[in-house]
Amino acid sequence: MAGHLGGADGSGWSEESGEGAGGAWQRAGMRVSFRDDVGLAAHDRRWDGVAGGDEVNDEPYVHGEDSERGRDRRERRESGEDGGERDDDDEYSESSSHVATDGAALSGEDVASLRNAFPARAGCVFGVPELALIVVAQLADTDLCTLAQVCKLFNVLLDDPLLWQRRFRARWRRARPHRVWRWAERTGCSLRQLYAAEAVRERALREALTFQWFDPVAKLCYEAVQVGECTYDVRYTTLREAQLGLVPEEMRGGGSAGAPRVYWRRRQRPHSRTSSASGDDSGDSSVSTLSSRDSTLSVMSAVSTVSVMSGLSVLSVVTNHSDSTIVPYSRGQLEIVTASSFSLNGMEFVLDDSDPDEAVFINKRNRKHRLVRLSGNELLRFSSDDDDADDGASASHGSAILPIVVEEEVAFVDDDEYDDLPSPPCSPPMAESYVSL
Amino acid sequence: MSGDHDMVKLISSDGHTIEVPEDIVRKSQTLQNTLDDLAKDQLENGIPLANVTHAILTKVVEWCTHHKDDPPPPEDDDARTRRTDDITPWDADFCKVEQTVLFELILAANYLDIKGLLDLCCKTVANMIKGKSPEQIRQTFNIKNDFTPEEEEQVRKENEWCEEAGSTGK
Repeated sequence: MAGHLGGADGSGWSEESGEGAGGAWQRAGMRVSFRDDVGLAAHDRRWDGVAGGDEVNDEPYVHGEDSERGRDRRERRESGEDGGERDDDDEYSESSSHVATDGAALSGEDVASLRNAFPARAGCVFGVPELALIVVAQLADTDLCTLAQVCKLFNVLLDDPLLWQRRFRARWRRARPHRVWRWAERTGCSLRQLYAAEAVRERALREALTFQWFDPVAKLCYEAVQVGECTYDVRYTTLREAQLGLVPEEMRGGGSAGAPRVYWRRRQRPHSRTSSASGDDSGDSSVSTLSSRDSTLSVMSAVSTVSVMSGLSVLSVVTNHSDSTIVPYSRGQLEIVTASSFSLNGMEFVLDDSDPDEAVFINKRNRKHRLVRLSGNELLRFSSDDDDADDGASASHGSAILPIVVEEEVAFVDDDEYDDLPSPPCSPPMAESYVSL
Repeated sequence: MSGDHDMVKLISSDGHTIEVPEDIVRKSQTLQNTLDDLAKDQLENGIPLANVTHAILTKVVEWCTHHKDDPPPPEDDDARTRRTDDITPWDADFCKVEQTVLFELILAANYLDIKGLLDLCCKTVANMIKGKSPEQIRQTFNIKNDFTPEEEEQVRKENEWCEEAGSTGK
């Protein structure tokens, strides 16, 4: 995994923390970092002429064959015999040495010494990468994660991109893995890292399904995974859409990576779960509001967090909910003007100076709604002081899942740098009738 | 080529010769290619297997003999290969050997390109890993923990996603 003990090519070995680049993923135990010298030019050149690209190569991986196969393909491609045929596996294999080898990399000798350090009986198998791959291919994710903690050699072995390609296919069979490979190529993010990100994201989606949240959640879960400063555009438009009963409604431009966005509508809206404990009776109205195309912001009377990376696409939805009261909210558009103020649905949020420990943004108008940036990792949490009412509600904090539309890229700065920022222009306020907290 | 009941001599790395029916030898893709490529007179002296000892070769032949009527293994399939609970009782007994032997079987199966045997042995090793803690795995395979405490903590954190995601793979 990038930014940790080992590169995707099995040779990387870095202790770079990746701090800041993927802070939100630290919640998931991940560290994200990127090489500065990822061969983007080479990658782009390699992907030139790839049209459409939705076809999936499901050619089975044969252990030990890839390097030779890739070489053959490369030779054919160079000689023009390949007819432009592409092979996602090979494309990734070719460049795997470029990927996610942060900082100092382990040399081949270092890896060999790791293997030699094994007792003969174990080393004879695990020292042969292709055999080790066959063994670990039999293991579930949890066992792989355990195995990585056994010793350095195992941790390095588990960075093999072929392993994760295979697991991507196994787990998300109807996905379009070439997008993953391509994105990984361009960003220098390892497939192991991406796989973990996807697994975490899938869990969020399952929670959304379990608690029958609405389109916003589904949309957020589908929209994009951001790692570091790059957007990994994932639209698994088959299996999980079917699970959600979603159909693509329209395409709109303006994705943070310049990609079109897909919005979904439900074929059949599930029953809204409401909580009387919250003392909020707006659950019913939320249904009608949410049926509007523009209503894509839900406010949960539970602790939810939305991770926002620089570039401001939704990274993930992490919830720790005790109930799932859904309150109507119009589709929000978060435009962070500066790091000290921004507008959300016309509400102007300003930095609250009274809290020196956290970067807390409060609604300038009613001072009830707060957005909190957890220092250091670009995490926004939306909460409402409404919940401080003594109603015994379990929802002591209201949190929002924000369908953030990226209008401009914002780089958060350290608190002590705020004073140096220019004064922000203020967005015109919108009707706050949208907001029902 | 020889008929189905012809015997083929296999010479182990430690100099022992085993005569094996050709149809069983052909369970090995490597040996099948050898049989196809070489003339009959070239095979009379036997096929040397530099990487397989007599004891392991005997085990391999035993497995091939038991599975000689099995259909060819299907192509790689991600879902199928991830199952480790589909080992037959005979195969399970076959794999109840010392780790050294098991690992040598894996190497031999890989060298001889016997996919079924390779899968079986790898599944057996995988089953030795499943559900264990890192320390238990170290004990099982006699592996030294070469992480520093800081590295160990870092790697542990990096792999927490599995617990958070409740992920077990497919």
